[in-house]
Amino acid sequence: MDHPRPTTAAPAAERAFTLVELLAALGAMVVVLGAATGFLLTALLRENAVLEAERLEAMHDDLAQIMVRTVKTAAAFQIYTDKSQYHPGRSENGVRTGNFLVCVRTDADGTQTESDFELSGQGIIYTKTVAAGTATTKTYANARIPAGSVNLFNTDLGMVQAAWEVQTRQDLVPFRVCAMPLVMR
Amino acid sequence: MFIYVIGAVAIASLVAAGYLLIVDNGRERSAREADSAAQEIDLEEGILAIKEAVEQQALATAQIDLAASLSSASAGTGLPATFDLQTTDGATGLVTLANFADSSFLHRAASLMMSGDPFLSARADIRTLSLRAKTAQAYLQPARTSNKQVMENPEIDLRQIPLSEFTVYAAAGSVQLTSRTFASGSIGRVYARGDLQITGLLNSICPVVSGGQVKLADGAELDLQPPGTAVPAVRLSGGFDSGNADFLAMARTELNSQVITRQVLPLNAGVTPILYQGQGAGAATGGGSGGGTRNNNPGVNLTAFEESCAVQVAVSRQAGPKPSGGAASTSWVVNVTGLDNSGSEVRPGIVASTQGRPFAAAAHDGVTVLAFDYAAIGRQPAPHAISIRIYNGAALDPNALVLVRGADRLGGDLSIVSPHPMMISGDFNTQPVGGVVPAVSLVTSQGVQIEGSADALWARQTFGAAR
Repeated sequence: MDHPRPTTAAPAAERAFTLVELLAALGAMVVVLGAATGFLLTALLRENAVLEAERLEAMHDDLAQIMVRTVKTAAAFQIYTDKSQYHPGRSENGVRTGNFLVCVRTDADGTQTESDFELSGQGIIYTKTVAAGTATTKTYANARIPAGSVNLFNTDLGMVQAAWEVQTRQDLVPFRVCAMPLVMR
Repeated sequence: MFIYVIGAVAIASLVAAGYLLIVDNGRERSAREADSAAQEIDLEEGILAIKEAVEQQALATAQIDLAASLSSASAGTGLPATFDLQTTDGATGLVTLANFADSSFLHRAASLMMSGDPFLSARADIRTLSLRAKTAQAYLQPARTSNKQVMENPEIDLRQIPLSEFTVYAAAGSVQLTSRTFASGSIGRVYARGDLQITGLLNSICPVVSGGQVKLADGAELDLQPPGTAVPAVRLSGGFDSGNADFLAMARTELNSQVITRQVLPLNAGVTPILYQGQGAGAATGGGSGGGTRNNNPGVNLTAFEESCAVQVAVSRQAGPKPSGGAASTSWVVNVTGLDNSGSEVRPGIVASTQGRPFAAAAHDGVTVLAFDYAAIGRQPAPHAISIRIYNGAALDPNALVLVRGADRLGGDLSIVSPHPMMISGDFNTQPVGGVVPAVSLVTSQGVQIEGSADALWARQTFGAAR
């Protein structure tokens, strides 16, 4: 008499992946998620770099505009090798090329405004002092002198000129400023 | 399925429309910025045209018609903009400039203290014209984004600096300054519309200004030290030439605006033709017998200066009766108008070292000397402009000299105008009045000699002035 042989297969409800299968699936998921996360992080980092580059470029564009307007409206200016050569309130002999520019403007009401631009390390520091009062200072980072130049400012052809580069993580942005005070025009 | 497609197309259309709007706004914004820049340039052209019109009128007639300046500028640019020009006290008509530093000059004058000014530390009477310029609404281009209406409010300063603020003011031609002319070596404030040549060792506390080129002869030196500076002065040495290529870059930096030429700054300074007649302009008329002298020296229109003088001194040399067997004696008639109690002394011989009257005439080695003793004026109000003419018969005496002395302490500004050479004796204007040294103009076409200095080598177009 034959007895039915008990089957070794589990019921459908009790089926499961083997350990190997689980490990393989987990590995695949890690690879897929890792790749996706990598793409995401790369995209975020690139976006961040682009935003940073745009911010730097906008800042230095703003600086260039300020520089042009300051020189154009200056009644007097002077270039010094560096800030240590300048004694506030005293106009002394300057140099043809240097890293410190002083512009002085006198408004109709007699208010005197002094604007200084200084290359300090990797940044350009802009300081504005109205009527010898409180000075407002703003630093524009990541600036450097272009290859072939020695100083930030020069007076070639008798005009005030400035040249610098901004190194962002995306690219190298050159800035050139050239202006002549109104009284000299 | 169809619904999904329609929905996808709608979403894509919205995205595309949004993108196009963003791009279009960017284009409008760029156009607006460009339009604004164009308006600024146009406005600046208009402003410069008005400035030029004002300059031309001031230099040509010493009068500025503000309304005419505006119309000429608007006609020149054709810009749809509005301009408004007026003085700081609101006047919009005719602005008249004065000839002399009169008695009120010191109260009105301001010192020019801005570094870089070619006339640094000089005293000037400044009339400020306010200019309001803005583009007209009709000029604006239609755009969704709001347009900018560009406005500019510059000011034009008309600065009158008395000749007395200059040691040498050459209204035309080139000038040569030598250390022989300046005993102390200090040349003071010098302005030459032509070239300026320096010979010898000289110095100055004022910028050297030339409409031409500044050159130093071999072996010459010029030290320029602005007042109040502690650093070494600018030292120009022999061979310096402002025509060199490096000069432009050096002018505002290394030279610290101490040498200004037309390359560095538009020099629109000048004496008006009313006071100055250019070379070849011929003799001025209306001066009677004085025309002969001015023929030789057409630069200075002495008549215009003399007409502004409140005190007139006319000295007539007349031959007296000739005794038998002797030489004719000489006598003088001195007429003074505009000054009380100003009778004159007339001496047959040399002028005495002291005199009781402000004016004394005498002969010395064939030269008629009219001695003006400032100290003898006494307590009456000090005159600020004196005209002195010395005649020999009907014509100006070609061998006459004006001697100024006793003028160590002046009561106020002083201008002396004469077609004759002037000689300053003793200390001159060394004592301040109320803390300020009076302005002194010595206007002559024949040169000024200050005692102690040797040769006066100023050009015929040079106004000699001393402080």
